[in-house]
Amino acid sequence: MSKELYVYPGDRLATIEEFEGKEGTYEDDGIVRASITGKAIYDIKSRTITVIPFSTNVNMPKHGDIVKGLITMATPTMIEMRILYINNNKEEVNLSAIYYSKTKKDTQFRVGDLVRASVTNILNSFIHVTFRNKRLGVIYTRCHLCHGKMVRIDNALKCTECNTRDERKLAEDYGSIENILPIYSVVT
Amino acid sequence: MSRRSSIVIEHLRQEQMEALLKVGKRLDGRGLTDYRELKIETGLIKKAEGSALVSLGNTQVIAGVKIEVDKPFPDMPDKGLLICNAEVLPLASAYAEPGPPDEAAIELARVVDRGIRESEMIDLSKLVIKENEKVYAVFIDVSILNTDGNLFDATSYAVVSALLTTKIPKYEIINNELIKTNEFINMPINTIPISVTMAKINNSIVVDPTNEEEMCMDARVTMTVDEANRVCAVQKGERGTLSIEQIKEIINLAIYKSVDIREKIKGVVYGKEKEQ
Amino acid sequence: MGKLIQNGIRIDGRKFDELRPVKIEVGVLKNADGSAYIEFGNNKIVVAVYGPKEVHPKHMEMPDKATLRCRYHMSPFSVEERKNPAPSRREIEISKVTREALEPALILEDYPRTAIDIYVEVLQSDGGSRCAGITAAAVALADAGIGMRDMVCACAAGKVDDTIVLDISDVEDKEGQADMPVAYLPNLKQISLMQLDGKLTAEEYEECLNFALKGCLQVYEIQKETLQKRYFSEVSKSE
Repeated sequence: MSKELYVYPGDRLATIEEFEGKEGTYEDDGIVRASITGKAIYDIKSRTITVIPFSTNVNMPKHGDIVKGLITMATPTMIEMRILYINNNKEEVNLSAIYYSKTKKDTQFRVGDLVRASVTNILNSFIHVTFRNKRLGVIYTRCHLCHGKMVRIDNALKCTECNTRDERKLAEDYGSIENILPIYSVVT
Repeated sequence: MSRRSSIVIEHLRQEQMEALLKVGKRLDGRGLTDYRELKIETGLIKKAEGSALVSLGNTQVIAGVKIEVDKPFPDMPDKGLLICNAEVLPLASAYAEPGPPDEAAIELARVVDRGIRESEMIDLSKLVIKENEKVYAVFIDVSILNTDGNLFDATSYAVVSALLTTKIPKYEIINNELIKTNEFINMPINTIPISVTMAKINNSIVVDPTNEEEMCMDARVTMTVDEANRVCAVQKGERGTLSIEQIKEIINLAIYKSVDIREKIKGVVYGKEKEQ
Repeated sequence: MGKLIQNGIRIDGRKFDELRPVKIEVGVLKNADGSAYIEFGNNKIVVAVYGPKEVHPKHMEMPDKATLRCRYHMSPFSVEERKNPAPSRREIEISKVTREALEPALILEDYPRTAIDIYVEVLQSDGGSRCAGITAAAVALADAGIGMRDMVCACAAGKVDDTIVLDISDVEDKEGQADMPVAYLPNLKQISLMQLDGKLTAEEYEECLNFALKGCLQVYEIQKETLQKRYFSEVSKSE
């Protein structure tokens, strides 16, 4: 059983005794109110209210989101990446996310790599990501010495220009452009 | 973040773009010499003597003309003044920052200004109230509202459309006093210059580049063509170079494309006047 | 009898408690995360919201909440005499009060270490452009989907020819006796912008404020209608 209603920010939805406010709501002085424009869903069973937004322009990454971006800093135990895409939506948020690990093998990245990662949590207002999945890791990069094209050879990369070999944590679809940069607008 | 830090993405986009250009296609499905949809609305700003809102695809530009009375420049005592300014407003893109116009915005204003001035679109000698003392000063201000490439053409069309619809409040000097009359005079127009901007991406020439194409382009050329199909102002930009054959191609393309756009602008401006 | 009010009708033909025509559009700019265009009388204002996004310069970053920034700017052709495009002292002050009028309505704690930028561009100005700007900015923030405690609606009231009237126009502002812009959070019943230039007695002040709040509520209805047209009608069509 549930009830739906269109709401605007600030609309009174219920008192906290009646319902618990979930996403898209906030509580003020014992009253649950909408914080976004959208559809309020009253779940009578769990006694919760969620507001589903109509505008999804705010793209703060959440737990479980797949993000793509560029490595901006890499040390043996920690990397920082700049998020460019969240779940394939082009974002101009340019938020930074971090990943750290005690084992060196997990952090084989170089600054400038284009990577795919999964958001694990948002702690102390930092976005934490992981690469522990075969879909995750470097999806495209250029040679760090000559900026030549890098091709995959087993689990490493080789530059087609200067033959430099480089170890990386690669995603299984490394180098396939269609998977990396979706073309939104081409009419075929 | 500067745009440059996403250089890897640009390289990827470039690869995609080049593959498509080889078969005569572009990322947004247009042919190489197609313009995006051009929309022009004039007379939006009642407080300005002339105004036009132009959208070229997702690029949106508004131009306003203000007329004031000023002293002429000492070296041109028999000419009115023409001043063109452009500003990329911070609301235009996530990368635009508030502050005085940067070098790109100043280049933009100057190239558009040059097109208007060198084509002699406006007969400045008719904008004189009293020689050596009082002339009309035409202030053209352009605000870029949304950027998606080819600001040059969008700005130029907005400026041209705004000027074409400008009504100058008539001033007279009576007993050495400047008096504003209730009459208006039309802007003295000689010709309608049309700017055509082309980008060179990996040896292909495309017309009306989008933002994404501008990020990948090697060179950019803006040519302004007058009604007699004469090229009257040119600006080449960016790092790349052009061959002599390419320049010939560009000139022909600019002249060819300018005809349709001039008709479109005339249709909007004069069509509206007929209605009134 | 003064010259601005005759037989209970104001110079532009309005009644004492009548707003100028207000029209709002949402999502007018492609690049912005949220945007709105408002025509409030002869005001024509476009507002863009960018964010939450990375903070530049870095020292403005706050670890516990988003940094809200606001820029109110007038285009050179928006006024009778061409305005220099560089920000004036007036524009900087209005930027500040606009930000402070909107800030209490935003749940900035949800977006730590980010910035939310609001750009208000006045294309054509009339009286009460700050109120129109705040009204449009609130709609643009809702369009951006940023968490808000409440909408913000704004309207001015004032005193013209010894009479309290709603929504002061340009002429009434220049010739009138007082101008009081007010921004209001309609559900939480809080006032977030309060300015006055002119002289009012305590009784007049109260009446003026009541007028302004009535105007704010009318503006709020228009804001809701606008959002409804933009979002809810689309949904009902697709369903």
